[in-house]
Amino acid sequence: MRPSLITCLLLSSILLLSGCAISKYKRLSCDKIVMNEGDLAPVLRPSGAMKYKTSIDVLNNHLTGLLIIKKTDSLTTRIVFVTELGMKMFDFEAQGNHMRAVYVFDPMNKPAFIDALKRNFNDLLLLNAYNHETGKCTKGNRRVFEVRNGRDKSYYTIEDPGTHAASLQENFHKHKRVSKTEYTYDKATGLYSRIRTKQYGLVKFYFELNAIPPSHD
Amino acid sequence: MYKFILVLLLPLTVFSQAFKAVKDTSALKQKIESMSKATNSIESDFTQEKNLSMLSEKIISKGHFAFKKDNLLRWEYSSPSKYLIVINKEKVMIKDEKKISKYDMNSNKVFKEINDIMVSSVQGTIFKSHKFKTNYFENDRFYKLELIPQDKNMKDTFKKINLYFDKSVTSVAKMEMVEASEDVTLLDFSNKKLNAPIADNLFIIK
Repeated sequence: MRPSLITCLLLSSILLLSGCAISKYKRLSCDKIVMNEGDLAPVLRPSGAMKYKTSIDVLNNHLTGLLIIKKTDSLTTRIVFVTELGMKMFDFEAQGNHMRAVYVFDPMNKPAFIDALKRNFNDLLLLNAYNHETGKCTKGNRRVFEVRNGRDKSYYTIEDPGTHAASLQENFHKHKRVSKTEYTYDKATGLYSRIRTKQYGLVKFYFELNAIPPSHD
Repeated sequence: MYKFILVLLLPLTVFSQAFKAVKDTSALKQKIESMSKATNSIESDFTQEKNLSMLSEKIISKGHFAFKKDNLLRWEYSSPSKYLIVINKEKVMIKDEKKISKYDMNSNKVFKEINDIMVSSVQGTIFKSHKFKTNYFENDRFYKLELIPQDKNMKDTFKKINLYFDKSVTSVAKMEMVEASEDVTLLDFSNKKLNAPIADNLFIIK
């Protein structure tokens, strides 16, 4: 088989596969709205700290520990990850669309790693999900919100809009899925009890956050 | 009356706890060196207290560790969750509630750094590292070695590490890691057994 033919076949398979992932969102009938926290329950609490037992898998590393997320004022959120050994691995501060690294443990202090962490936390904590023009669509019992930003598209699917019991966020770049986050909501605490994120591509990330009951911080 | 006595005694209590500089640092270094040479194994319970400036509550963890010369360490948390680290020379095994991971120390900078700090701290030999400048203090109960990082990367992580030895210098009593952000991790060791036999299979990495 000639190399060009192999390349063609590979390319068409990739297009076919990536097309499959986004195709489920095609032919949705949507209304234009601005999505707010009533449409999709936020991850952040307005005050107090949230603690999640967390595991992060990246390349061949498996890190576990405690993720602490706290709104320090109406605009600022701190995200701190501490291992079981008490060593702080990273500390990020998010303000609006901007996230900066306050501290990253030196051996992990690599720009590509930090950028990937920032992007994933922005997405999984729904930091920039609200107040954009959104397509509000219905698919069976599910409600789907579609956010477009140039060649990027994000879809937020809520299985049962009455209880927010389970939600799914999928992000696409040029029709290719770049990440997927599954949320399990606990109506009793008003918090997501479990959040799982997969980042696809060359550097694969997997995050799993399991909530620890809230304190009064 | 009791309150009056307490008010009178309080400054004395505080004074007796206050640390002052050790005059004969060479003698203390010699004692620590001898302790380290004489210690072939340590077993101890520990309580770890993490104080984060953004949290009002402390994060408390408890567990047990075993150390055996050279470079065999088993560090096991029992609460709030089960977590085990075994260091066997150049190999590291980590077992959490879901997964067992194995690493080669030489191919993983994160674990190399953590291993160096853990092993040299429990042995009390961390003060010999070129990465720190050491100040020596004492009070009635403890010698305190204040380790100030000199290495740039270490400075980004720690403002200082305080190692506390009992006055007879038999082992490390507690350890305090103060981060650049002022967050503090305190490790308090209790029920220590020095030079008791420890089975090698505790350190096996399969």
